[in-house]
Amino acid sequence: MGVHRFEHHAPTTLEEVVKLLTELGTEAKLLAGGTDLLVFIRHGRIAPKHIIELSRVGELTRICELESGLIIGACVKLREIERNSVIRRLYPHISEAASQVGSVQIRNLATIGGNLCTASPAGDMIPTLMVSGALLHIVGASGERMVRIEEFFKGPGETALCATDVLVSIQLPPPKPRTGWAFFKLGVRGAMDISIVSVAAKLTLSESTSDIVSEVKVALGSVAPVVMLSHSVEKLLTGKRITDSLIEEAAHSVMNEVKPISDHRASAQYRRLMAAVLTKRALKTAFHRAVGEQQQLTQLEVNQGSVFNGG
Amino acid sequence: MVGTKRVRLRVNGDERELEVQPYERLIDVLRYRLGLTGTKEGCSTGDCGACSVLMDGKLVPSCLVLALSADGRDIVTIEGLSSGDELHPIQQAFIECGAVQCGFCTPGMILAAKALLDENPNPTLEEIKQALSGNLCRCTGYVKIFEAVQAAAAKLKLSCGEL
Ligand SMILES: Cc1cc2nc3c(=O)[nH]c(=O)nc-3n(C[C@H](O)[C@H](O)[C@H](O)COP(=O)(O)OP(=O)(O)OC[C@H]3O[C@@H](n4cnc5c(N)ncnc54)[C@H](O)[C@@H]3O)c2cc1C
Ligand code: FES
Ligand code: FES
Repeated sequence: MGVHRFEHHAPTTLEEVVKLLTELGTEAKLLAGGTDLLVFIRHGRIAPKHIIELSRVGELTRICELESGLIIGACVKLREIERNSVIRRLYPHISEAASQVGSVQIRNLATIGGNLCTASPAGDMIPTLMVSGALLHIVGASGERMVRIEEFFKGPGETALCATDVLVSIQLPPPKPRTGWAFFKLGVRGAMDISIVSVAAKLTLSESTSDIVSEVKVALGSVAPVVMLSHSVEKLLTGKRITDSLIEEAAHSVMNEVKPISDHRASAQYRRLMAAVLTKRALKTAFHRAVGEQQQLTQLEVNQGSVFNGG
Repeated sequence: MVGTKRVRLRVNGDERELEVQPYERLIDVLRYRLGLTGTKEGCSTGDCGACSVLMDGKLVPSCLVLALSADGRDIVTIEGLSSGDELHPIQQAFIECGAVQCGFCTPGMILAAKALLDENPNPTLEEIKQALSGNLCRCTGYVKIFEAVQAAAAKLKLSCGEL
């Protein structure tokens, strides 16, 4: 196999990165963990003449807890996200999603920003960040800006980034009291598996002791060209008292919203059905967590229950 | 024109300084420049784990790391585990438990086991399976590999005198 040749740049500041991107234009590609980029180059999908490595830019690898929320640097490794105690406490669904990406080897290289910028409809970090209301801090030749995560994805592999832009960090607002989260991914093997369907949920109950939903978000992966938020779930549950039958109804409603395709991993119909099953489980788990119960399904139960027992 | 660049690595305890091409990967440097052929190349795309090495103590697939990205880092390959003729307890356990057949996956498996046991000296079977889930074996069916990791954990505890 012919080896693709490129130049390598290892800037140490963000300014240098933007300058290099400006000079080199579309011939350059940023390298974070390389677990997508180097595979794409290997497969001949892309052939950049210049690689700009981000790993030496210190400010991209920090996690900061502020009163205004949590800031996660774009180059923080998924292994760190999986284990960071602040993330595990405030946003357990984000750690849980990170822990299910690839293998230990992959998670030691792969970054959270790389997962977003690859913009795969199956990117496992995307649904969890979408239900968390993430804001993306972007710096480029024309200055800096904040983009809401819902507005970042333009299509499979396409984002709102322009050629000189760098994703610097992901900013998460502090979770409201009485909020529960969940993330479930359906794969065949459990490890090293691209999601067939993935679902993240956030459920906030009203301040009083009742079971009234004040805010709810469900994001679904691998069922449309980009990860999508469900509007029907929001409409059906907001302001209502949570019951099993209402959760059933909400879960059922996503089947009409998703636009899955059939491929070698699963048929569109299977994805549609599983989107409803995982939505139900995610909403139940998020609800239990919101009321402070530890009860939740494990990922193992999700894989075994859904793939092998059909339920 | 693509030119070579200088890279400094610490490999199995030795400082190495080399001129590499920007597109060379860590696995290329280990196998073809340093002759450390214990690191195997299976898939070249991060899927099989055969090329796993420890970089600053962390398990990484050396097929997905550019040599220049490893500049200044500490690398341990399978050749770095034994001391002289004496095999590392994990290597011994793999032999004793019959966890090696063709041997192609073995260096990666052993380094994955080392990465696990360095962090968690008392792993459960489930934790062992998780930690090795990025390493494929076409021969053994994994059972003996998991047994070997359990045996290695016991050996390492004994050698620390904890029992
Ligand atoms: C064996 C294997 C298993 C995998 N399993 C999973 C899985 O289970 N789930 C999953 O979601 N993914 C999986 N992946 C895909 C991949 O590991 C993830 O998408 C990972 O998070 C990518 O991060 P990275 O740092 O390696 O990105 P890179 O490969 O470095 O970069 C990816 C893309 O994003 C761009 N980019 C990176 N950082 C920035 C930035 N800060 N600003 C602007 N652009 C940037 C790069 O230019 C490139 O185009 C797997 C990959 C492999 C090889
Ligand atoms: S050769 Fe690197 S993971 Fe297979
Ligand atoms: S022993 Fe042959 S691949 Fe594992």
